[in-house]
Amino acid sequence: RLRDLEAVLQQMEPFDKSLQKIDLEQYSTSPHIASRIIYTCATSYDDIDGKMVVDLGTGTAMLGIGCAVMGATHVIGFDADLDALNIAQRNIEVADVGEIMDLVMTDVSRLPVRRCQRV
Amino acid sequence: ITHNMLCSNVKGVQNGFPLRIEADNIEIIESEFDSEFISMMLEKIDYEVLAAAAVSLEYNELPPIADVNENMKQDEQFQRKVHHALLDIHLQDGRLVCPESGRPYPVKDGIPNML
Repeated sequence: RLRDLEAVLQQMEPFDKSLQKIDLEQYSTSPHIASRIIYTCATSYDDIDGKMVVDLGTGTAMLGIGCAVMGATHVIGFDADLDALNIAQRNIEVADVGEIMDLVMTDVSRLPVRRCQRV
Repeated sequence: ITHNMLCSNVKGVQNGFPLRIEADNIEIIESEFDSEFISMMLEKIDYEVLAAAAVSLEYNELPPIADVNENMKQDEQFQRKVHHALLDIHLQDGRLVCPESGRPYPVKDGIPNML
């Protein structure tokens, strides 16, 4: 299953180098690393299946999509960069997790989320 | 579900929740029902806000909060309605409006721009 997860994430589009923004500190999390992080969360900590997940600074949605694939019921990805979010949207479509993952464009240091719902 | 969490971050606004929904384009995408998840979420979401938001997205099936007691919360029919409102209704294009300042946050292709 780790292999399957990695296979899905390998189809993901990374950041467009020409559009990367230095002041936003954007790094592509490689499919190799992303799949192992998510797989560990899912299996060693049971943190993914049936849960709602928030991906702060989702970028290309690599990690969020990994969560969706591993059984999260709902994932919300927050990011300030529209170029990254456009890639994220395409990735979500390719991974076919559109019914599970939502995107919100915002500044994650000023998260417009009401207090009692900070997850 | 995202709408139930989002609030306005306009400076100086005291009560920026909930955002008022102005829908231009709504999409319904069915997803897998998980009773345990819905039971858990019922304790965390603002139900009244959910019901009102659902109405503004043309879904009128949720009962008024006065009718929602412990029995109802366990009822699968009810849970499926909550599931539908929470997870299946997607605002593709429109605006989320700050209730206090009136500032609209545009939603395009399903992504709200809260910047």
